Amino acid sequence: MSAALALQAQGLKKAYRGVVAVESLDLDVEAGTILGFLGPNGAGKTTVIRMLSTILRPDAGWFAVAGVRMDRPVEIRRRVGVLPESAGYPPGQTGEEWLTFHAELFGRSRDDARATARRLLAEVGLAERGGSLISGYSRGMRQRLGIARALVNDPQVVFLDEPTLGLDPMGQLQVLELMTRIARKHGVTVVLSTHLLAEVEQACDRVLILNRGRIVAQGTVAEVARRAAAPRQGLVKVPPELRTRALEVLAASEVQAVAGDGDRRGELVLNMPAGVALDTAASLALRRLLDAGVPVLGFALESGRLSDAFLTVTEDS
Amino acid sequence: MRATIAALLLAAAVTPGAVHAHLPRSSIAPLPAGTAPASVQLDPTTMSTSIGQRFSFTSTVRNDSDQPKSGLVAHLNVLGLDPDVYVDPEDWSSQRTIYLDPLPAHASTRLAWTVQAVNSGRLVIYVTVSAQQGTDVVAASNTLRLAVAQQQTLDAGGILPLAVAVPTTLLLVTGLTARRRRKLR
Amino acid sequence: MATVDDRRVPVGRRAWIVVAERELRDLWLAGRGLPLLLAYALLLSVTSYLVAANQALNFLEQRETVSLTLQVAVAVGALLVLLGAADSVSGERERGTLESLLLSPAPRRALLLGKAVAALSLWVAAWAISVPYVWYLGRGVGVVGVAVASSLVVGSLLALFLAGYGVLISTIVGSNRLSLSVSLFALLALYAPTQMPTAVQNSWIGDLLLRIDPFTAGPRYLGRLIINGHSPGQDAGWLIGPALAAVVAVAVALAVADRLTLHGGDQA
Repeated sequence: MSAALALQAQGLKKAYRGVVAVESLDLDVEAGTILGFLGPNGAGKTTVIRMLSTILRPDAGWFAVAGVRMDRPVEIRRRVGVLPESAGYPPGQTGEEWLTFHAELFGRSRDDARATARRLLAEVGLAERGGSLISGYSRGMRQRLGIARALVNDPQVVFLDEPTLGLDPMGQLQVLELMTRIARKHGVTVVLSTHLLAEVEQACDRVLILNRGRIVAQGTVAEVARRAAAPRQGLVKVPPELRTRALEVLAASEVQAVAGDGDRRGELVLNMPAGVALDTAASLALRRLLDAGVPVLGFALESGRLSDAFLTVTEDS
Repeated sequence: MRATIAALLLAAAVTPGAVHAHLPRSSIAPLPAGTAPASVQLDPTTMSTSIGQRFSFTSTVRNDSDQPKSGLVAHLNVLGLDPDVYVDPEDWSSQRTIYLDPLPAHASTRLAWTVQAVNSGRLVIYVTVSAQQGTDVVAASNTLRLAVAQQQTLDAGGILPLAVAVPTTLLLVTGLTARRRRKLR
Repeated sequence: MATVDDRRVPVGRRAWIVVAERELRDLWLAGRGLPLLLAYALLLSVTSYLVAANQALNFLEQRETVSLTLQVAVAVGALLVLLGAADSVSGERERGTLESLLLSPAPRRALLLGKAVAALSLWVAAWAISVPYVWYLGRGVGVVGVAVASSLVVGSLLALFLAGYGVLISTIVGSNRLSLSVSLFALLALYAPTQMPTAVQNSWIGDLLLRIDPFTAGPRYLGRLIINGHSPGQDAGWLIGPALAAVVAVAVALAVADRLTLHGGDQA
């Protein structure tokens, strides 16, 4: 077992009443990584997190967290922090009371626990509302409170299960920024479980895609996107007045082209055919345009996107 | 003559008292049929008290015979003279039966009784003495005539302040606590 | 970064005390404790007012009113404990706050013990509330002292039994509704021996049932002390059943503490 690995697992399995939720999962995560944990609903993400945080007992396999094997669950709990997916909060307590309580459960003295609670509330931007009842917190504030709770024991590994669930885009951004800042500042390993691919692309060093209880892809974002044989596309920019002409020219070739929309407005999106080398297909398309008298103002081959990789691997498996 | 003597002997043989008289197995005298086992006297004979009060009295049990007696049992009884009052002696005392030690001839023993007056009105207390074996006659004492005064200790008006104050206090505390929590929102 | 060997050793208070304090605050400052106690006090007020309104009370009936009031206080006070205990774990499950607790290194036993302490506080408060009523009803018949003391003993044994039982059910059962239903059903079952025909109650099997059932043994003991004027030691045998039930219930509840899981049942 390597001391530099924050998480290790081999052959983890969990079934609920005969239905397999996680099937033979192997995992190695280096310390200090921000790991994106992706998967469709019901893929087993929460089950994996609950096993690694000792809430659930695996039916088979073993794991170690921060160098502590699974047969010492109390020691593991001292080293991990978790923001559960469906975390509830006692409405009749203030944020500071609740954090102080949990800090005391981790063995801090009452004064130390209170000081820790205040420090964490400030860190997550809730210093002004720490003395208010949790019942008055917005959803975003509760999520931030939950993140503070996950840090109350200075953990080595933090599991955040759907931390942006139910938040508006601004709230999502704030939570992600908070998570990244805390991860870098405290040097903790973060496992971010989410179904929002943009979050993973934005914040994570590595990604692991889970589907039907099995890992179907893992690596850096780029590696995963590349390995998944994502649909290949190119972007070409032509003079606006010749756009229609360019579409007609490309329609007669093997390369299908459509006018870009959204952030691709003003460009033509080329879908490279399968079975043809990417650069060959791109050269053919560009040659056709130039031969037809359509100047090419710009061209780029688009690397496979994570979203495409996700769809590919989860459909295939 | 011979027949008469035989008849007398036969009559003596089947008479219980006579058997004992002719064939004593112990020095304890059996009680002839129809004989009270002892006599018993209560002291005092009248008393006044109020409901709920405990009071004591004594009974003297005397062996009037020439033989020592054993197996005597003294029992306390209470009866009400007012037909509307239901009296359960068990409510007055839970220790109503005393098993006496053997009483020598012509000796007496004093028994102390303590009861609590749980009914008001006119009542009579008396003690009976019977034997565990040998007789179907029970000796009864004279009566202790008791007058128990009623004492009204409860009334609805008296408890009303308490019945209102306790819930009201709790309501106030509940309200103050809720208000304090609301301020924290 | 801390290593396995030098990870913080707890220097704070024991976990069950931390949990108990938190539960007591939640119950009495932010929760249902005061409203429950208010309802209980209203019940005692109505009961005592009605019995005090009987102008023809004689001495024995006055002792019977004290006994009646005490039995209401003990029974309802114990019921409050059962409600609190039955909600202790299953309620956290439904509110989604159990997972955070399970993620702490606090022993499961400490979590349950702290919650049981909070549930028991409902009985302590109920008993304290009953004292002025008992004092008023019992003055003049010389039973106040014995009534207050014996009700504390009997009620505490019942409360301990129900706290242990309620926490046990709450730990095992997945849903809060089921936990409350099972607990209340058990309470009804414990009252059943009082409905037996007198002849059955007087038989040896009936007597045994009445003695081992804490809900019948306790009130019987109270009645004999207050109505019949027996001494506390005279009928102490009636307390064996409630004491045994209390010890067994608490012991079993703590013994199955390791089965405290997120979902209850066997979904560990």
